[in-house]
Amino acid sequence: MTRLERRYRLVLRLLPASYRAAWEEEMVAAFLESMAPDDPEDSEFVGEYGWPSRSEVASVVALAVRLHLPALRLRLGVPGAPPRYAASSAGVRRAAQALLLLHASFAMVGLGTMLWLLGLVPRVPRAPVEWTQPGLINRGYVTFTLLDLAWVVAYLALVFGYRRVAWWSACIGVATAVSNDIGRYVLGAARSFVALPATVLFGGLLLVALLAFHRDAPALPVRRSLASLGAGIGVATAFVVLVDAVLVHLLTAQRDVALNALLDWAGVYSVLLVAAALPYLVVVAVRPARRGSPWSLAFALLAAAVLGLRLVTLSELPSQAVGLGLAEALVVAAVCAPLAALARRTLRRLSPEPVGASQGSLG
Amino acid sequence: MSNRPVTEPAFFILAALVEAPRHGYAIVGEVAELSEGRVQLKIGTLYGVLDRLVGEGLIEPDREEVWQGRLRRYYRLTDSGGQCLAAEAQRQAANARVASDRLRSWRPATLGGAG
Repeated sequence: MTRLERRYRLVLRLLPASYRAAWEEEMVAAFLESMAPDDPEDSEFVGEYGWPSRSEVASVVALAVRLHLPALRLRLGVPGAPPRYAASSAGVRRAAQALLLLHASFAMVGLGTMLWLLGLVPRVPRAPVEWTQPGLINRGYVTFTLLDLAWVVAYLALVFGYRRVAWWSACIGVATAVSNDIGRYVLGAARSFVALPATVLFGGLLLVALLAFHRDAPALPVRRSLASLGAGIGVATAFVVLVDAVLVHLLTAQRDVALNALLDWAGVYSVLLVAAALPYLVVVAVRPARRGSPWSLAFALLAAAVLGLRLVTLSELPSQAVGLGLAEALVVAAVCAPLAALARRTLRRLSPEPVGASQGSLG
Repeated sequence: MSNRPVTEPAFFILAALVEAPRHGYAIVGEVAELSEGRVQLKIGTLYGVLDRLVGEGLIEPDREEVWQGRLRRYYRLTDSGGQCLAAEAQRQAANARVASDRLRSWRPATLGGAG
């Protein structure tokens, strides 16, 4: 087998195995014929150094996307999907909703903070003068804070069933976060370059997860979801105020170190995830009937994402805070393990074979 | 027969099989010739369309040969593939007639027409 053939077969790995079983040999033969040079003496050179052209690779990629789409749709839990996929899709939806809720809550806290810094919140003591310097409260800060409200729009759109608006608003939210990271990097405020790829990766994963809210997905309970947003804003506000107040007034010497580990996004996610997942683990330990809930998978997915985010952003922390960051990662891993085992056991009990639309109650 | 519109690659692949059964790479060459070089099928595109046309019963495998140690599978047009191609050719011809009729009475804006 020539290197050219090996390279082309590698590209064909993008196609589903069943498709390759039926077509791979023919495709390889046709491709190699198309690459055969006019002069037979050149064939050895082409076989050794030739590569599939970009358009050739693109045609295989396009075919792979078309062939994988039906399987992806099944995995998203459309009607007719196997119970296992329907259940995993329900878990993905809960994880995506929880992440949107988190983003929306902190976006609202960001808006409140900006209004407070601008002195626009009545009956609340004004912010210290050193926090409201023109250099800190500038047009860029205001713009980012307002653009961040796209998360609120995304969450509300999702709750009221406007899936496309929700998805595109989430895109704006991700783009805002990415621009923010690029800005920090350009201005030299970022310690390393890991935040940007991490934001792109996790933002991208969230956008993919939101596809699980397809047109046949069960509608979200409006009242409960709106109440969750209210509670989320409350928790986020309390979290920021509490951490800031405690650290500013009680741990002055340790403030910057601890703030860096606790108030970067990975830290915030770690703390909130553990605070939410621990009670859930207690509940499923006490009430085994709840173990089949989609929340097991949702928490496991969130925990895995948070753990990954915490680990890749450790290099963003100052050296004194890395230990605290590692401790966060260990705690998240300790929570992640039983959740993953629980989710795995739940999904394995369900059939991977399609059985009509009998899984409607899992949403 | 599927009610899906016939794409340009599918149209030329069906046309390429009218005269004789052909294998994958021969189809690529015939399509390039029929379209006067306008449609250059990539292998991924070719087999995506072949797979669909076989699934819809418009073409079917004819025979297999081994050439220089590699598999060559020939495809031929089915009756329903021939009917589909004829219907599509008629539709395109009708579309072309409509446009040609309109164009006969049209004068470009640069020559004083309505543009």
